Amino acid sequence: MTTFAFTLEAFTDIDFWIGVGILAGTYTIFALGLQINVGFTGIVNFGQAGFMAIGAYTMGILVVKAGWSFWLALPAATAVAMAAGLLIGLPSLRLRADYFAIVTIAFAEIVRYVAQNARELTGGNQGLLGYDDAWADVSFWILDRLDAIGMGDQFLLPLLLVTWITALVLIAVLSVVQRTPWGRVLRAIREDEDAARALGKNTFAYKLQSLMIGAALGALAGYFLALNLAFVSPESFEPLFTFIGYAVLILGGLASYAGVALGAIVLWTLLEATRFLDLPLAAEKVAALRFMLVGLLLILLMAYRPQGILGKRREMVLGD
Amino acid sequence: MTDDGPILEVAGVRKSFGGIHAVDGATFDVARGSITALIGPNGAGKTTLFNVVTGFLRADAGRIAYDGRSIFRSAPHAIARRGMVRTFQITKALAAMPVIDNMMLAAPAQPGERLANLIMHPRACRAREHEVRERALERLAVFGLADKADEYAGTLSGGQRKLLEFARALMVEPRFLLLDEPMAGINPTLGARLLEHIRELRERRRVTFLFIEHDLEVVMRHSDRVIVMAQGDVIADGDPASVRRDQRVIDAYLGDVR
Repeated sequence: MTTFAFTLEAFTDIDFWIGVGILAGTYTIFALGLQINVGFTGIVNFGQAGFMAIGAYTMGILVVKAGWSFWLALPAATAVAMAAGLLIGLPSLRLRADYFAIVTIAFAEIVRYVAQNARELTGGNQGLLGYDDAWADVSFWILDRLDAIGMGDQFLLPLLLVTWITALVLIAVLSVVQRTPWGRVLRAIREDEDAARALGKNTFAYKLQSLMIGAALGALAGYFLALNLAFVSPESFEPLFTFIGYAVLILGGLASYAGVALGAIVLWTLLEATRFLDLPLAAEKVAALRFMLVGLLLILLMAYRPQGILGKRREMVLGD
Repeated sequence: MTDDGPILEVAGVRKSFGGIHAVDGATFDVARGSITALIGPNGAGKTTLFNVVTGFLRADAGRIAYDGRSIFRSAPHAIARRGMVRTFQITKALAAMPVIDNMMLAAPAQPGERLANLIMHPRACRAREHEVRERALERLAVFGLADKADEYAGTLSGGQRKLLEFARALMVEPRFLLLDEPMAGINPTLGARLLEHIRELRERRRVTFLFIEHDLEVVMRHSDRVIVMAQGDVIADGDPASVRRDQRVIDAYLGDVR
């Protein structure tokens, strides 16, 4: 008999949850950028992994190759990612949504290939490491505090905490901004760009701003990814990363920042938990099966709850 | 800025799509404070002309001046900000936004539409928002939409959407309104109310109107001037009575209507 065993041990293991938590937190920040683009402005950004790569690599290069302080490199790398957003947006945001999407995915692939081949700067496929000393200091400082409650031996707990504090602060800030007149213009663009233009709104400027903020959030996610992996390599920034970001978005619900966090938690719990599926199959087949399971879940979700966990169904079905 | 010259001057405007000359040398003026109708058979180029004049399409050639200054190839939002505001033939209600947000969006001079001001001048943003909300609610009441303020615009009927779009355009505080078939799909009672508003805005604030309309009854009774287009060009331009008698207009459009 074949056995479909599923060890529940994993779920009581704190290491498992810390690992899932860091991934979910990183993807939350990553997909918040997608949310402001896709969910609130209606621009389809398929290049989010590219902005993440630019952020992570710029930070790494500035620290390792140029000897910058980690804390200075963060804002500098964020500015570089935003400039990349501006550069991509200027010629291509005037295009129709689907063409824009193609441009962004091409951009992200260009970034990845450059990272792969500019070995002097990026270390190529070997990757880039040694940028996280400053973070290690902070991490140990937090671990010292955690010692008091007997959690001092959880090495990755500080990263989990900082990731999620960042994610939650971002969700709060973005939610507030979305309710301002500025956010209202973004929503109007999502609904009908021409209507917004006819009412005197410079929609192009708003789309650029949305893209640049999305890029900054992508870069931010890149820093957490870099700290989690301890090295940056091109394969971390494949287009797949962006599409998992979209899965998070769809799962959590369009036009909901809190939904992004829920979507990321559900998706990564699922993706990681299915690792423990004990099937009489080769490891790579199990790995493929995990994604099939997630795909199936998304299909079921689309059928029974198309608006996602926190999305508003009414906003979905109302059309002109 | 001239105070008495025409509010809109259009001269020799051309717009082609491939081999089709949608607008082919149209020339006309719109007098300040007038209610001017733009009529013509389907495919005459009326809506294309609207799109060109309001910056949504780039003209191939010609001259367009609003309030004495050229707006040839200006961006739509820049034109709207100067007080020349349009509506659309197919209503563009922002469906997944509440009615009140539709209205408030349109108000000009909201500092909170810039991110920097939200941080630097939050009080000014809130004050303006408060002001705009009051005004939006007043306007909605005028058009019988007050009880719909918090509903999604997508739940409104077709006629209500037309009214919302008109009310929303008024929020921009326009001096010149271009309406693309404002009466289409509105029941006669609401239509009468809309026409009443148009007249009142003209009398009280000297707003100028240019509207595309197929209901000749409305055109003849409510406009001071009628511009007739056919095949991309203006074929007649004058007061309603003379246009009605114009043989070219009868041939191209009116037929036997008396």
